[in-house]
Amino acid sequence: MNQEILEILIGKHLDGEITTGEQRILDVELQRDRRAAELLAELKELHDRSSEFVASSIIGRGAAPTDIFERAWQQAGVPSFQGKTGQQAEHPVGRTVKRVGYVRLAVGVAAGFLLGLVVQFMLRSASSPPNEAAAPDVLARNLTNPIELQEPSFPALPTDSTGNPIRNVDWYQFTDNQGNHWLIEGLRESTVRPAAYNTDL
Amino acid sequence: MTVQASQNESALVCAAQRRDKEALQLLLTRNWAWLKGLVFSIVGDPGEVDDVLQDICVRVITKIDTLREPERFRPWLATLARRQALRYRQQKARRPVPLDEEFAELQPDEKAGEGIETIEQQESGTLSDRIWQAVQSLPEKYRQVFVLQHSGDFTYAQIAEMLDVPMTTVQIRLVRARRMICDQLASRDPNRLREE
Repeated sequence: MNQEILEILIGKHLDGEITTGEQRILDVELQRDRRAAELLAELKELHDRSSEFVASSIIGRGAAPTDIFERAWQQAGVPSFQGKTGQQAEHPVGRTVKRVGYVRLAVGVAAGFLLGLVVQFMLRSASSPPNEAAAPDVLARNLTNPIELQEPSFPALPTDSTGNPIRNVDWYQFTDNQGNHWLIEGLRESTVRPAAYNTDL
Repeated sequence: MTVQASQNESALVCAAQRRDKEALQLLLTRNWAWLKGLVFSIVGDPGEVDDVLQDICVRVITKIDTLREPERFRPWLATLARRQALRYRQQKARRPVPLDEEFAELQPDEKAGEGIETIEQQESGTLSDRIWQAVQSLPEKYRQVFVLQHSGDFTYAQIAEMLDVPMTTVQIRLVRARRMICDQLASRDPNRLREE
């Protein structure tokens, strides 16, 4: 057992704060180590002398408590204190505290409301994109730019004898869940068709 | 403090808040011993303790209304007493010392009976005198706990409540205060306490 723990246990023993388990440990240590027993005797002597010294040199000195209290009572001017009447004299502090409590509550609620408004405003402005009504850039047409004014030239489809374009496609029929019939045009498999773009990728 | 005593004290506090002078007086006299010890541990001079105690009584009389939890009278009183004692000490430090007082302090024979001792007297003093010196030389936080512990039959928990510190702090401070006193006594007298 190290010195500090030993001193703590001895201190608790002297102050009457030691538990049964701690007392058992201390007893074993006192039997085992002669220096621990010496330390106990030394601290016990100090404890007893200190109690005597405090009682005689501090508490036992000076004027009687009743005399000091009487002087303080006069000094405090208690008669003016007793001059208060009725409910006001009963709980002046309590009432003040209560009022302060209401004001604090009201201020707190108002502050919370304002804070909520600010947070909501900030969240809304952060979640909606700027210029929501404007068209996306890709579809916007800049009339001042001559390049954009040029019509793209798509490759001309081959035509049959009547002039109708020959489309290299298959036709599919599809019925959706609501019973609507759809005719769907799709490119044939293994058909390569050049892509045409209106703008750069 | 037992539950019964605590309830009695709370009842006294309630009566004191209704301006019952006897209740107030009883409250203070019941707590007088440790209050005196606490003030001494801060002020350091037993001759000035009564002045501070009177100021504390005035504060208690005028401020007892502000105590909202009557069952916590002791911690409240301890806090008030500590503040008052510290204020007194600060005011004393700022107060100019008249030349005749300063001269009187240089005359050891005149003050010998009032607790201020010469080196010769310290060396030839009794064990109680040496303990007195050692306690006065303790740092304030250790002296407070030590004096409080010896000025009443208080548990560590009660002292902790009064000083508003954890209970383990009280325990450790007591151990260290004892160690410091023992070391100081040993440095003056290698045979320590067992000589007498």
